[in-house]
Amino acid sequence: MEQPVGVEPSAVWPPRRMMPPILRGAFWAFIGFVLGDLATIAVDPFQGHPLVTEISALFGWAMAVIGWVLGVGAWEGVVLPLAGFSEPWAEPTDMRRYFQFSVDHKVIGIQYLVSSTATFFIAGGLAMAIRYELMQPYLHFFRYPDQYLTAVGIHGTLMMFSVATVALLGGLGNYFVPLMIGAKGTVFPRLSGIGHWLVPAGVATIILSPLLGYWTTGWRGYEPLASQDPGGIVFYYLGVFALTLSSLFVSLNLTVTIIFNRARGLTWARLPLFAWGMIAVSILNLIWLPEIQMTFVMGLLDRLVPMNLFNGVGNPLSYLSMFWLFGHPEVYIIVLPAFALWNEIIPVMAQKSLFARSGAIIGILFVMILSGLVWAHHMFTNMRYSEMFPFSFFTEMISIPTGFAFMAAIGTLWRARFRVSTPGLLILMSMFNFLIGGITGVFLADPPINLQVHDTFFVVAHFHYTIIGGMVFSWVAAMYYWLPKLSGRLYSEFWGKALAIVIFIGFNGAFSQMFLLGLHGMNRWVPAYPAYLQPMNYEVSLFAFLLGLGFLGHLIHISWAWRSGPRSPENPWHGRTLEWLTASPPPPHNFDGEVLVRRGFYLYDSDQPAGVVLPESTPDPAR
Amino acid sequence: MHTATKLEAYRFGFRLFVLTQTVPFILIWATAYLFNGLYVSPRLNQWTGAAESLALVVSGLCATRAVAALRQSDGAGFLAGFKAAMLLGLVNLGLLAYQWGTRFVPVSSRFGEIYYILTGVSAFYTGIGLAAMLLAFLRAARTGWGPHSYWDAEAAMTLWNFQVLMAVISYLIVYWI
Ligand code: HEM
Ligand SMILES: [Cu+2]
Repeated sequence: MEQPVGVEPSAVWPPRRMMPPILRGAFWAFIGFVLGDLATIAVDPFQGHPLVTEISALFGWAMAVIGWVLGVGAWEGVVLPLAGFSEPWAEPTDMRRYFQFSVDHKVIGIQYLVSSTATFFIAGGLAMAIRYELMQPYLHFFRYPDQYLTAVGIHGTLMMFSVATVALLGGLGNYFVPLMIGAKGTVFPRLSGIGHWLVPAGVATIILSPLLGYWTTGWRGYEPLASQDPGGIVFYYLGVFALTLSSLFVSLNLTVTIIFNRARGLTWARLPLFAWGMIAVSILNLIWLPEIQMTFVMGLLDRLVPMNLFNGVGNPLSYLSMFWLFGHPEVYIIVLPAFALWNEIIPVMAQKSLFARSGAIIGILFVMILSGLVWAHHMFTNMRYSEMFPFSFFTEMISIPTGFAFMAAIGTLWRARFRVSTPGLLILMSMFNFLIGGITGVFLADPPINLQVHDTFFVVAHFHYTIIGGMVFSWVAAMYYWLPKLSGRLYSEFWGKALAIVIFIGFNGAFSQMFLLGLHGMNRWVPAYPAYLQPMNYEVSLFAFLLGLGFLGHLIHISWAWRSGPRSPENPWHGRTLEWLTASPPPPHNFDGEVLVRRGFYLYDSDQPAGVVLPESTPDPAR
Repeated sequence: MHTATKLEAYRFGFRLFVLTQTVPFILIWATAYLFNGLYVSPRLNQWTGAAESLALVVSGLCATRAVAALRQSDGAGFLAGFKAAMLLGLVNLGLLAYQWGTRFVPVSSRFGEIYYILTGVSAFYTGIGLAAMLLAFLRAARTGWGPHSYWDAEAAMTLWNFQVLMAVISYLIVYWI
């Protein structure tokens, strides 16, 4: 109160030497865990287990995550400024800024991409182990069934919550949305900055979950199984909590940024498709992530208190409904950005105006809306026929707005001189794969078929066609498409296409046969199966290994091109969206001036550019 | 971006965030209905519940008036208002802790589950709201705020009023319907 009103604090924190932020974060996390754990043990009346119990692990975990996030830089970057101390550190400008809390949306985007990619390969390694196990009809690689089931659960959980939900939104969304709307930054940069560091925390939690015991429920945390499992499920709930919080933060930031930070002239009618995709996904996240978080809190309380919400005394089906209320929108959280990418990249590769642009956007929005009405198609085996009908109906109706995305893409391709570059090729492959995934989804929505193939490999094939075939292929396409922007360098067309063909063959070889396996009676969630299914399983595994190698090849190729590929021209694809108006990689404030948008980005009827960068006319006092 | 737009963006973003936080409450309310219907345990102490809610409602009013004072450059009025709001928030938590301490209904009973989850989650948000107000309070006390720097205070106030609303609806659901 001594200080005069309206004066910001002037005392600058003395610059000091400190540990590298990641190390400090790990150290603080460790201390946090020990403190939280011991404090709980000290007051827990039911001790008896040595040092770590499920409850003490919960409090230890919470302290560890807080320690980690503060340690990597949120202490100086968020907490001190909020408490009225001026920011004591300046972000470094060299490589080190990728290894600490950052408020630069491009740094955050790359951090997300790296974390997601790393997790993709960790979870992919587990997939290889799963496929290796399934080459024989009996247990030969894993020792116990629970070990196998835990591996499948960790694979699925990591892929869903830290790759499929995260890579396109946290990674490409953070990096490209501000650029594509001509903004100099995001509205809540600290939120996204914290968001990224929750990803490694969540991933580590899930990878370490077997320390508390195996869990056999898979990525859905199914009840009443979860309440009977040994402790690992606790870390499943907590890890997913951290990961969903991360996506929630990014969604909030990107939504507000798209609404408030658009360049002059960038009306809603001109908003790029990728930004539309991001806004649709963000809205789904903002509604459904809090829902699943609360569901998991209830699951946790059910287990730790304990209560009887979802076990045999309570109502396991309520848990299933609560899970799938989020779970089905989740599948569109995954795939809507891919739809957006198709129609972002195809017009550029074809140099032809996007067909039925508003149709594509309406499709995205209606898929978003309908996705909340269909959850029970995952529970047909537990319902009366009369209850199935509305869910079956709405599920099949979703194919109509989904068709709009295809329509825009195909209409644009129609009679176009399409450049089959690596990204172009991957986008076509993605559309092909997703078509199969979507059509088999319509089959699954049909109760008679569903009751036959539910819980078989038919379902496994279906969702991998949509997620790998649709989302991951589009992600790889987008990485090639935007590589020149991210790095200022080009990749090799030969290797890009060759590897695209490798993953296409590996993917379709493996997963198309899974449909047949399912029809022949191969169940999900079993490490051992009838011997007559072995030959096909063996083959599937070989294709799966090829797919794994293909992805590894893409990783090596893209990393090589990023660092030492040939220099790229300014706008190699002749794209018209705003990210191409600035240098590659873009300067700290994105554009050397103010961006003005004159016309839509997907019009190729004349050579006029869609946007220009004007020299800063009136220096903005707020910056 | 101009300062005015920036404030507008902050405000919109923060309200959007607060809106998303209604979802967890809605889920528990729905669960309460699913599991309990309209049952209210006769062992609930109606007076304690009413006092808890009343403390929060008055606290919300104090916080709102505090921010209004800040807009009028009344820094001292702001600090006093937030202080009162925080004290009343603590009163609410204290009453709840007392009620939990009586263990009037077993945790694993149908009514007990919903009672403890709903009041527990609500208390968690109350804690967050108090922490936000405390941060704003400390910062204002250190640096002195005027009519041009009230965003953080407004944010804390918005969060607090949201929590008051959620707690009152939860109160109605636990104690009345
Ligand atoms: C948008 C991309 C899609 C993704 C990412 C996706 C993902 C998934 C996933 C992960 C599952 C399995 C969940 C589990 O049990 O672990 C699943 C099952 C299912 N999907 Fe999809 N899906 C998509 C599109 C569709 C479409 C378009 C339809 C129908 C029109 C559909 C209908 C179904 C049905 C009915 C099931 C339940 C099968 C069963 O378990 O019996 N899906 N999907
Ligand atoms: Cu579904």
